[in-house]
Amino acid sequence: MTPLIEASGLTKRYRTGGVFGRQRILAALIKVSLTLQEGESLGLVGESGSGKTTLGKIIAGLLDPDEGMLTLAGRSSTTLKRLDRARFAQMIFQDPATSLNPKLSVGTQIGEAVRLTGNRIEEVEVWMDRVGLNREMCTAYPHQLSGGQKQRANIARAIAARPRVAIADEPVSSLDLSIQAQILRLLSDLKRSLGISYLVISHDLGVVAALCERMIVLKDGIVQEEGETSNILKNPQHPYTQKLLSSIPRLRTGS
Amino acid sequence: MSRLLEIQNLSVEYRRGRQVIPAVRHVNLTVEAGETLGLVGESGCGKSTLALSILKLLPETEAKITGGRIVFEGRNLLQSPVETLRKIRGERIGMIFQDPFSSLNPVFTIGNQMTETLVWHNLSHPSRKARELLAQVQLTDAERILSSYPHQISGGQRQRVMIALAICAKPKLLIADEPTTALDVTIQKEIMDLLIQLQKELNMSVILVTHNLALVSQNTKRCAVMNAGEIVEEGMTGDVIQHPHHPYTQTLLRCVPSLAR
Repeated sequence: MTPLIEASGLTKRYRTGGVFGRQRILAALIKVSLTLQEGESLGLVGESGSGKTTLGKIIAGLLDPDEGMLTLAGRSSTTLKRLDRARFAQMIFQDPATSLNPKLSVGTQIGEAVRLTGNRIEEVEVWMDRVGLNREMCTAYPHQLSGGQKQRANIARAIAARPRVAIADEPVSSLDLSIQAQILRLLSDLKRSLGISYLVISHDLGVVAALCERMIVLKDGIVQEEGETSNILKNPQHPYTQKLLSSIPRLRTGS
Repeated sequence: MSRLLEIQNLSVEYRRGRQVIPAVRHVNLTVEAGETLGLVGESGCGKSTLALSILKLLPETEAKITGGRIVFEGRNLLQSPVETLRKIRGERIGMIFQDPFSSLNPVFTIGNQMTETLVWHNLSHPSRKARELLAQVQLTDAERILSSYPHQISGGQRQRVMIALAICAKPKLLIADEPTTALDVTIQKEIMDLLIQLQKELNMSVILVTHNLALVSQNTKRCAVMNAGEIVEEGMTGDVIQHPHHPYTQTLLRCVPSLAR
């Protein structure tokens, strides 16, 4: 079976400084390879500066790699047109407040995604139902919604384009705990009902554990560990993964 | 144990135009000397407003303390003159915030800002003292840190600098408002470990304000859960987490993501 995403040797460097300071070249990703099978979800875990967002953006087509090959559903990413890439992968960003357009109503924004698929605009309401938004919110503007509702609208906007992969970059990090739990539940329901694959970018291992069968641990742009989520959580091999796991505060149930 | 801080029946309102928003409603809370108290709740529950009102740091144009008393070392802070409060801030009660970047002035070096604070507190030999404080917060590279501007050091280092400033006058109470929320988990653990170590060394009380129940469960003996401006549950942290009484606490606990599948 052709994998949905196949990346090999992806490298990305950024130039920093320049105007006044010394120019430096920062390698954000160094020879990263990964595969994602149809219907499977993959977590990209790492701390700030590990390169996880850069990797997500390259796969979404928002950034071009300096080196390496990216094959999406059997076709080289360089041969795909912008619209094909948009139909292949959609992003769900961390901060729902800044990723929705403040000047357009929620319905209009979901409608834009629906149009990508060539479907009728009436489908907007179907998607609003699916993400648990009241249909009356169709005409509402983003600032009239709560944080959780905004993230639901954001998810509707992403999945209404019927992408094969949704790339979720810290999908719940800016939300309160109780809302986080609701959004995670929504994402895993959608995964089951739509058969969509997720690429979940998160520093939070709990989020990855809730959504992804497999995970990759990144540090300084290099893959440190890769495998099934449950195995890595139970038995981390790389010292960095071990440190990451032992740093997470856990609920102490014994007093 | 002696009582260091006692908040009695405190109410705080925000006024925006004609709108009145009660942010803290009839809150009672005590902090014993030398203890670490967790104050937990979600955004908008009033935990930061409560923390800020202890030092009267709320914006006076918008926020109004409508009732109650805040008794610290036997003195009602709400009726203390500004000069007394200015002495208490930093000297008896220190505070650290979530985002160390916005708490430091971007156009002065760390050394400059530390010296300014130390001189303000009438501490002798400010530059030697600054180095001692950096060592105390486990920043080994003191010379480089002191000559750096805030953007030249990492987030964890900035938070250590803020902690060094907060403890420079050996306060009896440290209010830490989401001290690790903006940091990566590995750094978060280092900063929490440092805070707990300093709390023991200096024998100070710490109020840990956070949305993170797990953090509270690992680092505090006693905790209070806030919702909609009220303290809905208070008790020994172990008991609250094992046998939560209030429905809100129960919901909150159910939402903690688990690594077990």
